[in-house]
Amino acid sequence: MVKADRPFRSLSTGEQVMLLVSGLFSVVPFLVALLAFLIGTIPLFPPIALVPNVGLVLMFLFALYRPSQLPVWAAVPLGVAVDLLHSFPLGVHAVALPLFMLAVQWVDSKTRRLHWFGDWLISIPFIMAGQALLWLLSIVAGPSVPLLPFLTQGLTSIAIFPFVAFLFVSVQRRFVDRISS
Amino acid sequence: MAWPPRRISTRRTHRERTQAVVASGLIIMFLVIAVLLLIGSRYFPNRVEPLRAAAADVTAPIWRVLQVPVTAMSNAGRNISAYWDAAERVRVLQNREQLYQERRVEFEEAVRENRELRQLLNVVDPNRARVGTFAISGATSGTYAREALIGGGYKHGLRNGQPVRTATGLIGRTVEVGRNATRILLVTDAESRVPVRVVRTGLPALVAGSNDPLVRVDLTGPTSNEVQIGDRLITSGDGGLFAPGVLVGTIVDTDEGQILARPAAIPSLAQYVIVEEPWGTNFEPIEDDRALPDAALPGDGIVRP
Repeated sequence: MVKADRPFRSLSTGEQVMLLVSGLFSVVPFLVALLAFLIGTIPLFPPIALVPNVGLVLMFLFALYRPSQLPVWAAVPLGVAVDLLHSFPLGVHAVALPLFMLAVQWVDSKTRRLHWFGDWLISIPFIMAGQALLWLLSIVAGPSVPLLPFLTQGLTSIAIFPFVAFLFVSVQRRFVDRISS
Repeated sequence: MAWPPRRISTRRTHRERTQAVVASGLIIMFLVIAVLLLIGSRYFPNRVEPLRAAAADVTAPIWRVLQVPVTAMSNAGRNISAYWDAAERVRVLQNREQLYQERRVEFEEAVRENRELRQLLNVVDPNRARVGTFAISGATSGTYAREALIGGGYKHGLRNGQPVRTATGLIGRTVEVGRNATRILLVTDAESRVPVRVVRTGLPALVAGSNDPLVRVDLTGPTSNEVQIGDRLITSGDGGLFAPGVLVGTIVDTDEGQILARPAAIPSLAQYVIVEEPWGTNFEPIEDDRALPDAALPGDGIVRP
C-alpha cells in the first residue's frame, strides 16, 4: 500500500499512478464478500436450503479479524446488492449486515479467545442470530416465509466455518501480511 | 481478535476523534438509508423489478460458464450409471410398451372423438405457442425465495408472467425479465399459486408453494377429502395463464388435514426449460387440416364448420 505523505501534486507520475492503483485494492474485500454471497445463487436446488451462507461467514471473519479492511458502512451497499441477487425485499441484508458486524465487533472487544476453536464456538450464536434476523426483517418487509430454511442454512454455514476461516487466514497471511510459511 | 489490535487507551488525538465521529456518522447515515429501503420495499415491492432483472443479467452468465465442467461431469456419471442397469431398464420398458399399446387405441379414439365434437361446437382454443427452450443458469439460496435463473431474456421474447415447464411438468412462471436472463418463480415458492384439477375426479384445486420440497393442495368446495395418494394434478387453465393439461404434481400425503403433493418437475433434474406464451392471451383458431370422417357424426341438423 502506497502512503502519500506528501501533497499529491508533488508526487511523480509513477507515484501518482501507484497511489491510485493501491487505492483500488481497498475495493477487493468488498468484491470478495460479494462473490461469497454469489455462491448462494449456484443452480443446485436442494430440497431444503442447504447451500451455506458463505457471505455471512465471511462478514463475521472480516468483522472479527480485519475490521479495517471492510468498514461497517460498506455492509449497506453490499447488502443492497445481496438483496437484489437473492430476491430478498430490498433493505433486508442492507440493515442486517451492518448490525451483524457491529455486534461481532462489540463482542470481540469485550471477550478474549486464545484458540481459533473459540472463534468457531462464538460464531454459532452469531450466525444463527444473523439468520434469524434475516428472517425477521424478511417478514417485516415482505410476505410471511417459514423460519426453518434460514435455520438449516445457518447450520450448514456453521459447519463450513473452519474451511472458510482457513482460506481467509491463508489469503490474509499470504497476500496482506506477506508471510510465507 | 482484530488485527491490528484495538487501542486500549481512551485518549485520542483531535484527528482520531474527528475520524471516529465521521465514521459513526457514516454508519448512522447508511443505516438510515437501509431502513428507508426496507420500509419502501414493504409498501412498493415492485419498484425494484428492473434492478433485480439487471442483477439476474449479471449472475446468469457467471454460472453459465462455471456450469460447463460440472454439467459435463454430472452427465458422464449419469451415463455410466445408465449403462450398468441398461438391460433391466430395457426389460421394464418392453413390458410397459406392451401395456401401453393396448391403451393407445382407446386414447387415439378418444382424442379423435374429442376433436370432432369441438369442431362441431365451434370451440376455439388458445394456441400453446412456445417462446423457446432455455438453460437453467442460476438459482436463489432457497431461504426466502425459490427461484431459478434461465439464460434468456427480453431480447429472446421473454416477458413477465409466461408459464415455464419441463418435459415432466410445470416448473413455474417468469417473474423478472432482464436483457439476457430471467427469473422463474418455481411452483414451490411461497408466493406461487397454480389452479389445478384432480385428474381422477375432475375436482378443481389450488396448488400453493411453501418454500418446502412438497407443495400444499387447497381443495375448494365441500368435497375436500376426495383425493387419494397417487392422484395426479394437472393445470386447469383457470386464470388464463397456464394451459390446461400440464402435469403439476402427484398427491403424496393426505394426513393431518393438510394435503401435500410432490411437484412433477424437479429443477435439480432439469437442465433446460420450455417457456410458453400465456395461454389465455393467444386466441387464434386452431388450424387443423385433418379431414373429418363423414360417417362418424351423430345427430342430424348440426351445422359442420
